[in-house]
Amino acid sequence: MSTIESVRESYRDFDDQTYAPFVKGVALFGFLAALPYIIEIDVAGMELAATLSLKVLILTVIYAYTAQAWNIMSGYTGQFSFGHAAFFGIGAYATQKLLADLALNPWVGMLVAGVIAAGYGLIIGFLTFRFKLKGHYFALATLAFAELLRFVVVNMSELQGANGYFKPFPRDYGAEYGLLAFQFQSDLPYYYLILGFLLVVTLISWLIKNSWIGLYFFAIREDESAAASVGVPAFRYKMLGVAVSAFFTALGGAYWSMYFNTIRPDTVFALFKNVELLLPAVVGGPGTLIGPIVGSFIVTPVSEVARTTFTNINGLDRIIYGAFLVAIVIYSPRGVVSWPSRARALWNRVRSTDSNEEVNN
Amino acid sequence: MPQIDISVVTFPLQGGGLDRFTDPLVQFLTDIANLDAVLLQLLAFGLLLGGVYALTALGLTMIFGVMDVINFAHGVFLVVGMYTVWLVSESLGISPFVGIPIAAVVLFVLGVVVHVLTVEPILEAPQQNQLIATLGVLLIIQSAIEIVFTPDPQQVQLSLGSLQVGGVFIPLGQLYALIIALGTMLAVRAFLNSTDLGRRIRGTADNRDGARYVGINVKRINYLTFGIGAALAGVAGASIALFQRFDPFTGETYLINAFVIVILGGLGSFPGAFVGGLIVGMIQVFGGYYLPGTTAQVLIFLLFIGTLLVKPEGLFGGADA
Amino acid sequence: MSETNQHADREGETILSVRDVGKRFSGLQALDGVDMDVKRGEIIGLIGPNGAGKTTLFNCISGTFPPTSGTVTLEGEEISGLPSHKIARRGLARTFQITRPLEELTVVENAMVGAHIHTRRRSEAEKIAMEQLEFVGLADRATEEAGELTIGAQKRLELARSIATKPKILLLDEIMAGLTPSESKQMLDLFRQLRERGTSLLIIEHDMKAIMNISDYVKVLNQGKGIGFGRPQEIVSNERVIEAYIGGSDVDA
Repeated sequence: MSTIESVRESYRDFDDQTYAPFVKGVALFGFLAALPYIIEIDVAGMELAATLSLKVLILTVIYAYTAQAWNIMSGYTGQFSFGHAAFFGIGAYATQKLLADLALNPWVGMLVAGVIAAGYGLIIGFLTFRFKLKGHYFALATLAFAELLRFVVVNMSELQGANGYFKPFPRDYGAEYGLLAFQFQSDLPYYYLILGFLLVVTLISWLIKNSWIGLYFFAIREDESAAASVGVPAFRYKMLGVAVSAFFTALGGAYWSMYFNTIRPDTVFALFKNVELLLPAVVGGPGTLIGPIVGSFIVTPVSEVARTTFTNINGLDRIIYGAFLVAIVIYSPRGVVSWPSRARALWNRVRSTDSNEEVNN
Repeated sequence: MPQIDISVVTFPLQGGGLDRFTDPLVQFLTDIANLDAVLLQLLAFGLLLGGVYALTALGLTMIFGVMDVINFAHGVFLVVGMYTVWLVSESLGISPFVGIPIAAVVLFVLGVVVHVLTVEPILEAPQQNQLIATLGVLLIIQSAIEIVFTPDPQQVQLSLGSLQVGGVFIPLGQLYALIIALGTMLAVRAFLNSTDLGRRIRGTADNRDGARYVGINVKRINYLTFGIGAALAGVAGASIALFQRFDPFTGETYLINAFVIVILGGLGSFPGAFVGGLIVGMIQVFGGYYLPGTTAQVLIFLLFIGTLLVKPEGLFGGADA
Repeated sequence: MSETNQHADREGETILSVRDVGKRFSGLQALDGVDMDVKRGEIIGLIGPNGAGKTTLFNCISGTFPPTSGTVTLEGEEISGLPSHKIARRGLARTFQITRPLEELTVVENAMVGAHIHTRRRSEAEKIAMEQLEFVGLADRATEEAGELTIGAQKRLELARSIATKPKILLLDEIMAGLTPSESKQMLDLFRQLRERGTSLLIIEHDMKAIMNISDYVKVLNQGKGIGFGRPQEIVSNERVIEAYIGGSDVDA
């Protein structure tokens, strides 16, 4: 037995243990927690932090979080939503509106926002599932529900129209900088906060995947009527998927509105926001637990680093980003996390032809 | 006289409350009761705008209908058409009208290239991948235009003036665009209905697998469809440039409304695209005049969602590309 | 001779009862006044030429779509018009003519989807699922992706998935089509074992020899109507049945 095989063998033994997911989770999140310090390590006179700032890390984890939330609906139940900006925007707007009008603590506002978004998700789900929209039509309908909100907000003076909201100071709602106020004076606590969000949504995704709910979700994704024929109430579980996904996406929007200073319809409800929210999951591997996280660490830094590197040529970053999108869906339609198994399959094929030749010779 | 600007602009916000809906309705009904001249003017504007909108949707509905691909790059194809006309008339001093066929050719080539590089490899992949790939193309082309021509708005130097017909004011630029739209539609329809190649494209739209069995080279049909779809976008963009300022990002609004029109009119249907274009144009013109801000766009999306849910095959039934 | 009354007095508790079921698709009467009873532990063969309405009847019974007229009752309770997942939960399961494995799930997960009807606990569902895989002979392939299986194995998987719901009655739509002779023989054995467990079977099959061999009773459909019901040996000598088959396009009977 070669060393590679024995390593793989022992990994497989480890993988079979019940504690394996726990160990993997701790390792992953331990690494993510250490990242702000890792990027500052001086390697041969070069700091990673020079290109990969803490701000980029925060954005990366935000999009890992929202992609993880999107994944629950679209990756697991297979209902491809192209309109998650609706939930993201609701999260941002409800939090800020409640903060501005009622001085409601953002933590409470965030939960209210989550419930509103889940409600909007249920309306979308009820209509699209009952009328059996599929494929492109489903994607277009979800997009329309998001765009609808953008124009509603733009036209409502009650929501500050196109001007949006400016994040108030903690003292405006009777708090001081810190966790309770959802505001900090430096970026590091913001990073750990969104990492906590990511941990929660990943944990919940893991729980879903390892329960009957996840199995039902996947069964619906694979073949809805076959699943129904063995007792899966597809409509109800699809609704559950939308509601949970919308709720957590809204929390991401709430975080966004508390991290950045302003929100406007053309930022949180932007047409392209719909893409940014789902892209890491598609790039990483839809339906997988690690895919959205891996995907975000590929997609987000590329776009952010391109933006900061090519400041002299406005737009070059988006060309790189666009080319990257095209390349990734062409060369890796099932996501980056499928690479190891694809490589293994390739390796096996190569090896089996080798051994066949040996036999033939 | 109402100022009609097709691009979505944000008007100053009106006050809150229900009167924002009732006031316009009362105003609208009063105008109808009085047979106010403004109604005729709005109808004329709606017709003109609807024709242009229909033109922007033709290429999209063709690609969607034949290939079952949602082409998000369609909006930026329009923009390329606009810049082509502008470039031809500014740098070469040729009439912008000559620029229109040039734009069609440029876009045909661009469409085929985009198809070969990005769409063809993933035709059989999950549909969301096509969507992301064409969005990537949108970003690339849009940003390339931005780098080369700056993000500033451009305008074709052309003063066509306007007509006064019985008190109704008709800007000639938009009238020409409408005529071009109608002419293009008729030409493409004639191509699809009376040439052998056109019939093959229609056969492929009806049944891709069936087309393969009867020996149609579906691969070549795809090239052609994407090329023609893009060329139609080129003509549309070029026509819009005759009367409107544009920048690299102009395509986005047109793109979304083009989707609405495609669905309203029914997938792959050219006459449907015209009806859909008229509906969207009328709602925008009348809504823009009576309703505050861009509330009209809200109505358009509600209609869009309603159609998707209840009659996804389009308001007027089946497809006939 | 009235085909419904002939064996109406046969013994046993009625599990499934189909009464005057009709189904109309825009202008086409696919089913017209079909009556049928299935008793506990019976194997009923459903035969008829192509286009006779056999699969349509399955779809009406299992809730893929509701019948346009008539009623279907399961253990005396009406199920016609219920969605298929509710019918499955009442104890009626089915397989599909063209197999529908949940391709990207593993073999055992496929069977677990059915087993979860009884429990939300994953370990219990896995136990039930493994038992069914054991039963159909797929236990050693439990961790493979369902999409990778051969047609024969997919058919067995589909059987395992449906019996994991522990149905009172099982509707099998050409589950033997495409199987090798030895696979077919194994399948017939499984049918007998299921009957011994008290599960009723309603099976559509084109292999006449197999169906005459395994069925307690045979129901014949032609052009959406029931034209015969009886013991297999009665059916093979029924003139209307012979006529329907010879007159029809289907001659593999």
